[in-house]
Amino acid sequence: MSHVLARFAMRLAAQVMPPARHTWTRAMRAELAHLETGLGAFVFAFGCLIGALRARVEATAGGVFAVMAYCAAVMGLSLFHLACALDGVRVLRGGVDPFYESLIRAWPGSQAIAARWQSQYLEVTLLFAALGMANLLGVLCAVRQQSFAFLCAIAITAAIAIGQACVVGNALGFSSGLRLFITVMLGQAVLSLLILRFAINPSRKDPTR
Amino acid sequence: MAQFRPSSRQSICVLRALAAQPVQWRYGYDLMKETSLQSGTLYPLLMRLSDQGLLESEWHTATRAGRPPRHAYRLTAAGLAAATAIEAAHGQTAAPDGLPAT
Repeated sequence: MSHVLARFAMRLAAQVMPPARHTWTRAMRAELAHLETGLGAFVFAFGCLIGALRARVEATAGGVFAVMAYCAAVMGLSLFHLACALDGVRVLRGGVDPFYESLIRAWPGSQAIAARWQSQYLEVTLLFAALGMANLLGVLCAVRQQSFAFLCAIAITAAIAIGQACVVGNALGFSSGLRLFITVMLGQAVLSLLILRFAINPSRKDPTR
Repeated sequence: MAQFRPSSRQSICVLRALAAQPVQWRYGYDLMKETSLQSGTLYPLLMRLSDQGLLESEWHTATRAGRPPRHAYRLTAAGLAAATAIEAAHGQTAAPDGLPAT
């Protein structure tokens, strides 16, 4: 079974590998044919698939595209966070909060939740502003190919997001909304780390440059 | 040749492994076992070394019947010089974690 999976992974690697690197796919395939153990063969083939993916992303156009697509997505997220922060400022200055209004009328007893939500306007607004700015910082570092600064920006974003999840979750007491928020942030963190690993300054691993 | 900049533990590890027996042709799986690197890390490194002219490769006929030829690798003269330069730079200080002693 594992040998079948190994062959499948190797076939995928051959599909993913840039055409100019096909000699290397042939080399990997030949090496796989010399492996004896099933599990070892699978681990080897899966590693080759990862290697092929790296080769594909590191090809200039692919790497640039990956970084740009990532930046566009995070930029959108960041603008959303900053818009939420601006809306929070408006509400703090006496504006009407439609979310609060709808919470009050949502169901019998929801007034308590609405009151908790209202009491945490300031924290939520500040955290949205911080989250938006941390995401913008991440985009800036990604565009400038600054790996370490990008990693720091991811860490800051994650820390703020956890704080945000705690504050909003405490205010609303909605476990499903909280789970969705955490899932989105985890997805972003994983994507960020993948981008860092494969697309931002991949030549750091190159001992010859 | 491009400017020399040893940066990662893995790349130094591969160069050291290849430089340990510079004349001998080495296979990918043997290098994996020797350096404890996964294939997903080793092959991209080999590709880059080859791109930079530090590594040469050739196909060897399999010793066992029914098996395909294997791709074998060894350092070029430039690659050996690069490995020596790395060794000189890193040999003065303690070896990074996980590097085999030379």
